[in-house]
Amino acid sequence: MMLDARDVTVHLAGQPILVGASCQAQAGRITAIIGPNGAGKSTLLRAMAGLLPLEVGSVDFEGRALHALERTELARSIAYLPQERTVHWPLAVERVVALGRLPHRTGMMPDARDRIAVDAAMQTMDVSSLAHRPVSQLSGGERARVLVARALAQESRALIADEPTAGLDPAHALGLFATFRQLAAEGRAVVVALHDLTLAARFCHHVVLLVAGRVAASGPAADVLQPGTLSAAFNVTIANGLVADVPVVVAVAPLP
Amino acid sequence: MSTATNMWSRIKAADARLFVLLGGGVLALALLSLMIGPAGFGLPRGEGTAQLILTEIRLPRTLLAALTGAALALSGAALQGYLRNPLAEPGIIGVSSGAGLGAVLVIHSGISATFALALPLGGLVGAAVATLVVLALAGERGGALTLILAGVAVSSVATALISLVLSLSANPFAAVEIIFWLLGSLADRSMTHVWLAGPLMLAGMAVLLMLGPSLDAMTLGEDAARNLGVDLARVRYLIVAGTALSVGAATAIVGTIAFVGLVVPHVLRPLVRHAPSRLLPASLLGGAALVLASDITLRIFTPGGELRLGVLTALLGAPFFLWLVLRTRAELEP
Repeated sequence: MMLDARDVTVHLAGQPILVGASCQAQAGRITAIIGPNGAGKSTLLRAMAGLLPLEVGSVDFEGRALHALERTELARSIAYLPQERTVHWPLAVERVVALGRLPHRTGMMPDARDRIAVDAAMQTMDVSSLAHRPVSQLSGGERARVLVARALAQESRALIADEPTAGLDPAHALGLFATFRQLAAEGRAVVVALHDLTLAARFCHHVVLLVAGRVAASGPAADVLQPGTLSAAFNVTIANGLVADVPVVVAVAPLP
Repeated sequence: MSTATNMWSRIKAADARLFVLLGGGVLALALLSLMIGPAGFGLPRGEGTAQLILTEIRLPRTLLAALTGAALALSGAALQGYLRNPLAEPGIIGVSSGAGLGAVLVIHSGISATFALALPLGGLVGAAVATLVVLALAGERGGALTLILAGVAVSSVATALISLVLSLSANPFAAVEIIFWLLGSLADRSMTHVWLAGPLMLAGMAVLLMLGPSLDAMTLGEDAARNLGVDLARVRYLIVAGTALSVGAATAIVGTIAFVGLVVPHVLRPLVRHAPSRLLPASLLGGAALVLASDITLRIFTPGGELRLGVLTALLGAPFFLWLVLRTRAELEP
């Protein structure tokens, strides 16, 4: 198991956010975390990225507890893409992507290896043409792609992304998941929090459904993404089926 | 070749030009500063008095001007990067007012008259106490906000106490001395002052210069920075320690110098394409150049010392700042 969160319990300001939640992310797979607003998806991702002190439970990376890893080693192992997309200074796109190389830096200046990684990440996310533009001048979707490129440039074994497709147009959303598929095929583990159930059904291997901080269902995407299960979790009626050979999950109407 | 390689070589060339320009400016201004004085223009030649004027009067003044400007602007750049706020300046964490209070207490109590270094030592003790109080108030795990709140609280208390000391001052001469000291000056400082404060300022600046990559990473927010391997608690501790050493020592020797820590990083930021790591060395040089230039202006136009350095930097800095406000407003308006 590449990234293994077991029985994680987290309180923020006295409120239970996660209660005994577990999530296993395997190499070669995309794991989706779904659930209604406030279910604890982002908190679970932050815990899996080693950004939260755990009261109960454990998170292991390849059999070693995250807190036992040295900072730089952790940064090289797991890339985390937060939901927040603020870039505080109007840096050039290229500089933002190059930040992903910080954990790999040995000297003061980037070396050839860093440059190759930055170029490849920008090409993958289709932002090479924006390389010299300040991020402040980009649209929300363009900025989102730049930040994904930063995480890709980190070249980590595991990638954790919080709502990576929010604000992306359909072409770039599909492109991003094709990239995640590619990363998985290279033997990495990808974990994403998602609201788009159709994307989860189409691209993700494993789905964890969180409701009020607890895991309500966990298993292969086809098993978890069933109308009965989802309907109870999201409080809407759900229909699913195939459209043009693509699995589709649609929220139909709120339950009374 | 790849876009990244092109970009990096372009950046390197632009940065090299900027740093050569700033470095050359500092050297030229330092030389000019050594040549100006009531004993005439030019580098004094020969033995005896001329030599003494150069090494005992002009050299410490030049060194302290450069060091003070560098310390103020560098810590301003570091704090702006850490807080991700272009309005941050060294005074925000309470170190300057702490140093001011320490010096004022030494003047008020009359200790300053007993030995020459009592005043700067009082300032250093004040800066150290203020720093420890701010760190204790901000707590082990607090973020940027608690640091600002603690700094503002300590700064307010120190300023209030300075006012109290002033109003309690029975001796009008002591009150005038306090006011003049608070206005900031480089006059009549000796090499002893340089030896006392210089090493502390250099150590503080070395600490701040190390923080570049961490400040770059913080551009993406605290979670992303931690994910890139940045230890936020360590960064915060080093920012406070570096500012306390460099600005605390500078204030203890020179008094309060306004606006340098705010304006210099602000002006240079676009020239380093907003990268916090590049802004650090650029601000160091820019700050040194600005204070050297201000002090030279002062000595040319008011050789009697009527205009104080801190007053001049504020007089120059404030209109400039207004211009920045107007420009920002123009950019924001549709």
